[in-house]
Amino acid sequence: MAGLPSPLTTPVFQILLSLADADRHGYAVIQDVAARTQGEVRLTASTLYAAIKRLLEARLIQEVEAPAGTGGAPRRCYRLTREGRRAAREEAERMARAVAMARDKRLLPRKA
Amino acid sequence: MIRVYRLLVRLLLPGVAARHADDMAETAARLAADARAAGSVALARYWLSEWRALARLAWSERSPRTAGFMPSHLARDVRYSLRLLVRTPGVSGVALLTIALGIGANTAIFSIINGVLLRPLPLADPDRLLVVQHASMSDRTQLGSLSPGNFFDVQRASRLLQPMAGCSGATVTLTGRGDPERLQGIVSSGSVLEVTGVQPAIGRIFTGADQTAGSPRVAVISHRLWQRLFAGSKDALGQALTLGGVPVTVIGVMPAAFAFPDPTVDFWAPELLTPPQRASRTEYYLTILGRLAPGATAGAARAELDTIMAGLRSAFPQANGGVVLEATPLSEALVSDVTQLLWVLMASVGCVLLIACANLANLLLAKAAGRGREIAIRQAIGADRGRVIRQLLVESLVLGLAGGAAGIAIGSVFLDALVAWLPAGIPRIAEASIDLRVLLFTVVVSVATGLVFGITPAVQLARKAPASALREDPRTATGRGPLRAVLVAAELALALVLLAGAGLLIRSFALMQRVDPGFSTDRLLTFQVRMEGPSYAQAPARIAFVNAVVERLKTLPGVIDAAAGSNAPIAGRGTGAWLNILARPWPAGTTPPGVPYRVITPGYFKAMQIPLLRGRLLTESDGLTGTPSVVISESVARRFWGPDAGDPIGAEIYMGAPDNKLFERATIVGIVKDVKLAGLGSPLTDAVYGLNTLMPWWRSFTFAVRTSGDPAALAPAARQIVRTADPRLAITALQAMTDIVNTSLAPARASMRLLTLFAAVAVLMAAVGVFGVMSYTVNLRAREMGIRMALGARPSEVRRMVVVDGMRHALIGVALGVGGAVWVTRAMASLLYEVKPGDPATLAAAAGLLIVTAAIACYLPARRATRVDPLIVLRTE
Repeated sequence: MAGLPSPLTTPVFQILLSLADADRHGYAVIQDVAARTQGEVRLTASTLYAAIKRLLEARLIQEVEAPAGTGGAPRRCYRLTREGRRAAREEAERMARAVAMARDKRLLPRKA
Repeated sequence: MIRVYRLLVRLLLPGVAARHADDMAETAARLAADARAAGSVALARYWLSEWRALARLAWSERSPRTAGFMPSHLARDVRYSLRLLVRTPGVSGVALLTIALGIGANTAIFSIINGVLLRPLPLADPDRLLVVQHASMSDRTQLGSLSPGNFFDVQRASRLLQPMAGCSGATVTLTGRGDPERLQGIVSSGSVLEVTGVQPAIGRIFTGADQTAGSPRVAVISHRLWQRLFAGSKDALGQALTLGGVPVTVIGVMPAAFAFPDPTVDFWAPELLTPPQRASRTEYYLTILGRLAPGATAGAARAELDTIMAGLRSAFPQANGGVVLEATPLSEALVSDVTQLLWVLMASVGCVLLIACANLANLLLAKAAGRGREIAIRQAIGADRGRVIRQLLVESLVLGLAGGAAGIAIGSVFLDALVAWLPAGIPRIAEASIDLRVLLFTVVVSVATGLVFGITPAVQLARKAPASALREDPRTATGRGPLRAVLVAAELALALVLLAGAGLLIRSFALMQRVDPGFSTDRLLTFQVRMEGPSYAQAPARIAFVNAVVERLKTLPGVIDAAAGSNAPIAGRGTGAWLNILARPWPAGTTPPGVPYRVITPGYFKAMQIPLLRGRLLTESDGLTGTPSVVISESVARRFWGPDAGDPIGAEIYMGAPDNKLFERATIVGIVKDVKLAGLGSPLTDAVYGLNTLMPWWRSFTFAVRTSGDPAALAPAARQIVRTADPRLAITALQAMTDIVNTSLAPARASMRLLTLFAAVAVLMAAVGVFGVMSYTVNLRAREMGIRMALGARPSEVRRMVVVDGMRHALIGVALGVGGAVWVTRAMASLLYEVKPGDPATLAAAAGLLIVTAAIACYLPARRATRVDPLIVLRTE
């Protein structure tokens, strides 16, 4: 997984998910994660950019210039790379397998 | 807060910060803004989580490296200290909060000192810029401006101060762009912008060529004005601004960070002087700014100025008698008025921190009682004394640094409060912020704090022989002996010094508030209007305008009276000129004293309610025929016509130099009560009053309207009257006289409030210190008290014994404090009004208050001592 240990941490996985459908700058990623998790995962600027640094080093995301006219928004946007998409998918599959196991053990209700 | 965040990110997360610091700060700012919209609790919660995340990341980023270069036992000591801190959250919390508050206050005040006094001016090579002013030969004080004649001679003769410019402030009305407004400018002979060495953002600066006779009027504008008038467009260059009714072409815009001499300046323009104006040696309005030539030193430049001035004294003895040139570094000259106040505040918070350290040392000494055995065991199994002391010092250093980290956050909050609290107009205060130097200061203070409060308990504990420590009862193992009492005495001494300082400022302020300003400030509205432009080129137009506005103001409902004068009392010195008595000419080669003069309308004294002491007031008919009349203040009468110099009433005078008179001659017809001209604390009360018909060249007037109601309610009507009379003129400084008085008291009020606050904290901390030590002593002596009472001692005797014991140390501290205060308060002399440093009444009051406080702090534990049940104590034994 290109240098990041598995399983991915929650912030890292959420950032990858956030970038799966659109390029976003840091503030937008935090907003998206908070909205999607109904506030359960609230990233701080420090956590976000520490994770972004690691994701860039692992080549799971790449930087792109923020489009003009985004006001006081951060200057750079981030885009999921092919490796990043693969890493997010593998993590999601790992989670799905875990959910399936939990269902087998009746910790979760079986699917209808 | 965002600045601190960005700074900490750069310091703590260098790897992340290298590319992302700005984005992080912007993201944090937007998240904070979102949180703020949800309320202050949400904002506090946001910052808490942000700081926590930052600290966690910094720790995880650095811990492997830290462990790598730190000696393993030092890293272990740090970890052990952290565990100890967490294990005793109560004591650690109190200690941490005390240090954080102390360091936070020091950080905030140092941030201001750093911004105002220490940070280099944003000019090219600011250390090489000198301000040159006239000073009295006797003590090189009473600095004043130069005449153009002297300036041009100095500029020609000086080889070591090149380039050089003579500047003066100018307030002019901008018209033709919406409502008329007043702009602040600097006009200069020679290019002041060239001297500062800062290049314009666009366009060019003015040069000598722009100052030749007949050259077009040009100006360089500030970045702020450029944005406001031209929305930052480059088309501004070449456009005309109507300043004071005269079209002036914009030739350049200075950078946003350029604020010389302060951020209020809107434009810089060359001064176009006529040959007689250039030659004048009796009009003093230029302050010289000069840059040291390459290789020149300030000392050599001062010596050169002395030589030049000696030549000017012999060439023009009347204009330059008793005058020298004083050169001051620009960075000092800009802030000379506030330097002492800021250092006094710094010393005060330093004292508060020292008192906090003494309290913490006492706290750690008490805590050490329970650790005697632990230390003894460590020593018994092989730790030497140095190792034990180092462990204990690491503990206090960790506490100090943790307190310092919290202190930075608290300091940034204190800083905002302090900037709001300090009087407006402190130069460069906008530059006060927490930067790298402040952070370094805080780290040094944190380490010093940790050492100061940690060294005593560490040495005390490590000195014990392990065997005896193991045998001792942990309840009584440490804390005996004079050490804790010495710390308390030191706290009280420091608190007394602060209390005495605060007391002196409180007395000064009270005396200042009681000063009779010489006129009634009650229900008086004032505003300024400057008559500019071709319409007012002739004196009759100016006089007619002023009289018309005054008459219309008098017709407003509720208005009791109205008048106008060249300057409002209290608001400032205004303009002065030499006072010459026709019957007693000044001896050749001597300079007559300068006296402020006021140009007034006839009803001025009645409207201002300035009492007439002798003679008569000025009337509209004065000067229409025969010799014009003037009125003088009683201090002028006293100063120029002493007991043997005859009666000033009827004396004839003129003002100015023989070749440059304000008026030819005038007869003194009355003496009025002294009025405080430059603030309630200022001794300046000399004034000569003449009608605007006597001094018709005057263009700027302060109108005063006395009303039976709220003066502020009159403001719209007053504005309308001026607008109706002439819509091209701007009204400025529209305010009630009580606001002018309040503004004049603001510096004294701010220094008094701040020092009182620090003194109150110091007294509180000292009281807590006394209380802590006495409580501890009572606990140690509980058995003795029980036995005494079992043997028949009465509770009052036990109480007295405890209080007397405690007060012995307190009185020593108070006595030391009185000695210290006499010595230290001398540094505050310039902040005081009518009170001498070391004033006995103030010292006695401060000592009395502290003694009472200490007595209460001793009495409370003493009362507890009498509640000891003798039976329980004896049974325990």
